[in-house]
Amino acid sequence: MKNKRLVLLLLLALACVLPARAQKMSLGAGVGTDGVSIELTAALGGHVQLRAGYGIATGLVGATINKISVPEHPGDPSGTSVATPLTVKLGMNEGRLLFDFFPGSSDFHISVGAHMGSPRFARGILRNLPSDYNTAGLVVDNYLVKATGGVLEAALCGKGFGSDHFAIKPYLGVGYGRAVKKKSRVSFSVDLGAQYQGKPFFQAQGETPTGRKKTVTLSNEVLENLVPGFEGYADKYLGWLVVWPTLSAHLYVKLF
Amino acid sequence: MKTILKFSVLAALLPLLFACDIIPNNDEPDLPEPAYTSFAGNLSIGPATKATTNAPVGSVVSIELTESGLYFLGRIADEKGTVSYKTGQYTVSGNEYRLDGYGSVVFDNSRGGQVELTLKPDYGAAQQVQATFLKPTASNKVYRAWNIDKTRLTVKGWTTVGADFNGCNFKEIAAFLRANHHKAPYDVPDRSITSLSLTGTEKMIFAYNDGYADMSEFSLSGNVIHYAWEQRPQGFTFESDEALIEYMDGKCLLTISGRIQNSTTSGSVTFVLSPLE
Repeated sequence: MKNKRLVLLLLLALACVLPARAQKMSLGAGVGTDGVSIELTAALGGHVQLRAGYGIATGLVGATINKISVPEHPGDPSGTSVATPLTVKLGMNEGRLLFDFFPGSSDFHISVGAHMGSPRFARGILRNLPSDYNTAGLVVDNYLVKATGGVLEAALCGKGFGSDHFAIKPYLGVGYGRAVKKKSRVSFSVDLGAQYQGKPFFQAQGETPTGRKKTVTLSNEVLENLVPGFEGYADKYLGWLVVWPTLSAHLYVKLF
Repeated sequence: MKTILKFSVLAALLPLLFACDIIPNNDEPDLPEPAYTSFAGNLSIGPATKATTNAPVGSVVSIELTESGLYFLGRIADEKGTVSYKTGQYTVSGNEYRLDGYGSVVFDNSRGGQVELTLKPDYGAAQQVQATFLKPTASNKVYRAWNIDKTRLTVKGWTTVGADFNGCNFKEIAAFLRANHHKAPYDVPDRSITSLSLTGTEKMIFAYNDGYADMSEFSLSGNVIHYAWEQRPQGFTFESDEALIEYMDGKCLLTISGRIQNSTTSGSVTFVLSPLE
């Protein structure tokens, strides 16, 4: 919460101070491995441009695996199994504040900034779960994580330098193109970089006995107890996701 | 244009605002006093010193009149002196209490102590007996009849798992436990708890959908209930004779903890309660 307040304060300060220095501005839309986005950009002199925007990838780019099955009764692993398709999708939902530095007169630039908001970057959705999974589940901090209507959703998250509920993912990248061009009303930019999101972890929605819902973190210890050997798998496969490669393209229209 | 840039930065802040935590509401709900508080109390029938001793089978030995307008009429059920309880609603007119499904009882309810009690069953002759009327001396929000909205079972073993059930039906819960490789008896009756009454005379009463009830005495200390319940071998033992009362989101939570016999596994049952009336 302290991180979130500090970032909010800094950004509000920026919002108040930067417009005075803005010489030209443009509005853009983009698509990339961080979802679809809208950005408002401002040229702060000939060598620096500021990009502020919002990106979302919830529900975009998914695949369904049909070979997953679960026991009909979670407490009876040797009993009858039921096929439950698993759909995996991107899940980003975050704001961004990026500075593009142009070292020369060309359109080549170095981008530095951060993506901030929900730590979630991928969603896994199990469907057609047997009715027992609507009744029972894992208890995390008095929140019961279970399916609703046969659907159980979990998120793969990265918090970067933020918290479990508010991510601050620093971004560093290079790109070609200018969001704000002096002599052109429309401009195009391509960026390639990486977000540092730290060691990924899982979150899911839990419910108190009174029905209050909250997103809770499923610790490795909890998952290790549920799926023996989980920590080994996590170290082996999730380690690749400490850095999220970000390739994006944007089209901008100059406002003034 | 400065405004547009300000808006853009503020738009970037939107996800931050959405990520704010909801402030938990654990305050006690503001509940009105139950409608029958001034008429509530416990009638113990017979001489004060030996209320149920040697009473014949079928005779009425106690009547609990709760703050929420429910009565629990205790009768001797067998030669061993076991008391079984029947429940229903009551209304009051002066000194006459009309017990729905039984008849009426008449006594001076203006004060506690020894009273002349007239039992007027709908079927059978009227009877006048000596009784002791115990009026509640303390008040507390928890002293009322509660509806069980939900039952949460939690088992702490190799990991902590839980299960939520709407209401509290013993057969449904036992069937779920058996299907998931937990020990649960097969002869569990198809019975639901319709209400849990905690009274100012310190009685904890579970009423069932078949009109019967189970009763225990308790004492309240802060937010802990110390109860005196008969222990029956059911594959688990209660960790202590205590239940914890908490308030959350306008509901009352009553949690009883237990431990599985010969095991490190422990568990708890939490009833989510809302006022019955």
